[in-house]
Amino acid sequence: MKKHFVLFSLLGMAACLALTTSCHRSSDEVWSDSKSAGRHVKRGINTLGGKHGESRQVRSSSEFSGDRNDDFVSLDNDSKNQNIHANDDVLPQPKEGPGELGSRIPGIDGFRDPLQDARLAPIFQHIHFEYNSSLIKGDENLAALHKIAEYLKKNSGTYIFVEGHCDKRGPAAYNLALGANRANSIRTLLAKDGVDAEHVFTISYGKERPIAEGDNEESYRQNRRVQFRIYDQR
Amino acid sequence: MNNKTKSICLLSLLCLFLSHTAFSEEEITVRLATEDSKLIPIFIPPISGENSDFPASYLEDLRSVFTFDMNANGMTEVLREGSVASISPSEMQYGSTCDLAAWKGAEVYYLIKMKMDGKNLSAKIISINAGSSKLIDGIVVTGDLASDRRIIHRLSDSIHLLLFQKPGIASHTILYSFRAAHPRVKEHDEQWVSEIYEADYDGANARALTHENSYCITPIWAKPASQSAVGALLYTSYKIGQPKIYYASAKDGKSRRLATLRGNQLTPEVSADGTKIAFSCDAQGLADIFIIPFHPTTGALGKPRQVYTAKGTTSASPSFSPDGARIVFVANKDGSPKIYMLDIPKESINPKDLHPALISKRCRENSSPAWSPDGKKIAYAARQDGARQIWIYDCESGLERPLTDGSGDKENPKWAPNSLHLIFNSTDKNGKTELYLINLNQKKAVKITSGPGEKRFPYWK
Repeated sequence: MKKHFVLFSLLGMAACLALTTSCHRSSDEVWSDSKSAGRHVKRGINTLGGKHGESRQVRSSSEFSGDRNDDFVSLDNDSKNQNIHANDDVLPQPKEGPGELGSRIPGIDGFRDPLQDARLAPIFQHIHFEYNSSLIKGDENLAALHKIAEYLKKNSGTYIFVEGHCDKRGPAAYNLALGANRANSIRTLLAKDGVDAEHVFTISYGKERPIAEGDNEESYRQNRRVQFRIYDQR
Repeated sequence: MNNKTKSICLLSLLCLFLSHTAFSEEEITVRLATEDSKLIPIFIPPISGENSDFPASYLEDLRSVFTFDMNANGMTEVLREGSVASISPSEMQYGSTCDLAAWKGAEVYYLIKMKMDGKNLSAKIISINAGSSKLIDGIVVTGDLASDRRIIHRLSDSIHLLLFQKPGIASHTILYSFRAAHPRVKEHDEQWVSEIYEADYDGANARALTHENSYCITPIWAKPASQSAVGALLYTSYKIGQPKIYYASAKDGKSRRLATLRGNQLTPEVSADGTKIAFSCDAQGLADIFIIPFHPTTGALGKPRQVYTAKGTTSASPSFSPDGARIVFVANKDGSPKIYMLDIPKESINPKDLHPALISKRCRENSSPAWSPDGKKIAYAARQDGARQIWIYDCESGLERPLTDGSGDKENPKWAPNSLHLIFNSTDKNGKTELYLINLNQKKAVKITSGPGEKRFPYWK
């Protein structure tokens, strides 16, 4: 009860502060700032109380429209475009920054390779892609992803990193971005399958970490992959 | 006078980079290149060193550095000694008078004689056609080749400025990422480290700028806002796991995060005036293009702004036009990655209303565009006949042409400040990636690095 009182007091103060110091600004900007201030205060109080983030299951990317982009200005930030998104299948990154100062989730070095665990290895298999593509194709890939989704839904304290990799033939700089999109397409699909997207982080290694060195199609296929690392929060 | 040549006179004293050098008051005539070759033939005799404090071998090292500069400047070509075999050896001496007719017969346009007196180096630039000369003297050489290389580079740039009234590029340095095997291999996917290095423009004097024992790539340099200010190094590092962009101001050298943006931050580039950084980031769930206001000392000056996104599209490697109003970038919005040009939206806009112009139409698989400082050209990598080559897009005509050929995948071209030179990385015949220097007047690229490790993502500082 006391916690709620503190929360509402701080929210009220933040709103008043924003309103009284913004005489030269539009009402939309003031309202946007007030919302941002409220979110930061709530997050701070949650952290003090031992909670982290605002974890919940997400089944539609449309749930992310609106005020999630508080650390950057999105292209369609204007209210008239609020419900018009060029990308129907994108999912903004989790609020928690793994490895960031103050984060309860470690960086990827604190995550382990599930393929080194006999119980997890059959579940967290690599997902493969076609050349220059981040589209997930094939029943085999979809079935593998469904197994991962089922595991994550049953283990709510588990966080995963999705690593996006590319084969050596593409250009290095572009592959860094392509690897990011491969990892993100996996994350989006897991979220659509009911996984808490706040528990899924993405990282791109481009073509920097090949697992097969050959100059043949099989090596290229092995390298065009997404692989996983997991972390169990205790 | 050869009717294929022109001559112009330098009527005023020229400012030189070397504060301790001085020119005589004589006029000097500059002959421009012939139609057959864009390069002006010059000759550099061995440095006269009768009273030198240094051995002849050291003087030859210095001449070698100078010869590289004059061969790589895109304006002159140093003739081999065989080309001037008809010239009397006495003509090579610093103090001798020149038989202009003999040098003219050997097709030499300029003769650059040097002498070392004690530790003082002097250079005499003789125009064979005009019969005039200029003197640069008072250059103090240290005997330490690493330092003296830079002194020679400054001399080269001074001569370039004297002859062509444009700054040379020999005094610039190159930033790049150096990838090598990890000294402590723990797992298969941690066997590489990459640090940011800086070297002279000819690849010499390489030294590490970062010591993160992590994975640092794609360095760029934000120039100082004014002469009294300092610049900043920006780069992508994996030190906390996800790749994030960091900046290190030359003021204190400390590495700091550019933005708190979530997700993967990749391929940064700075505007010509150093006030904006563009980069690729998947904060919204897709690798999009963002721009953030920037100052080399204080870092970001506000929130990043998303400037390009398109459904299912991978966007990366933005590069600013010189006025900072447009960017070119790579995107696979139409299938194969291509180069697109976009007016940076000034305010919120429906992403569907963004219509970047496709500029690379000749080849598939284009990447890493770089807008030249003069705004006239865009260099990029394009796959052609199985190998990745450097191509040039002419902004005025809209035409594209290949600059390089041969085997080896060439990527990440970056323009020198003179908009004539490019540096890029390419695989060599052993599959190793090294840095190469090329200019628009010479087809042949010069390999400037060798030895262990992969050198990639070069950038002019």
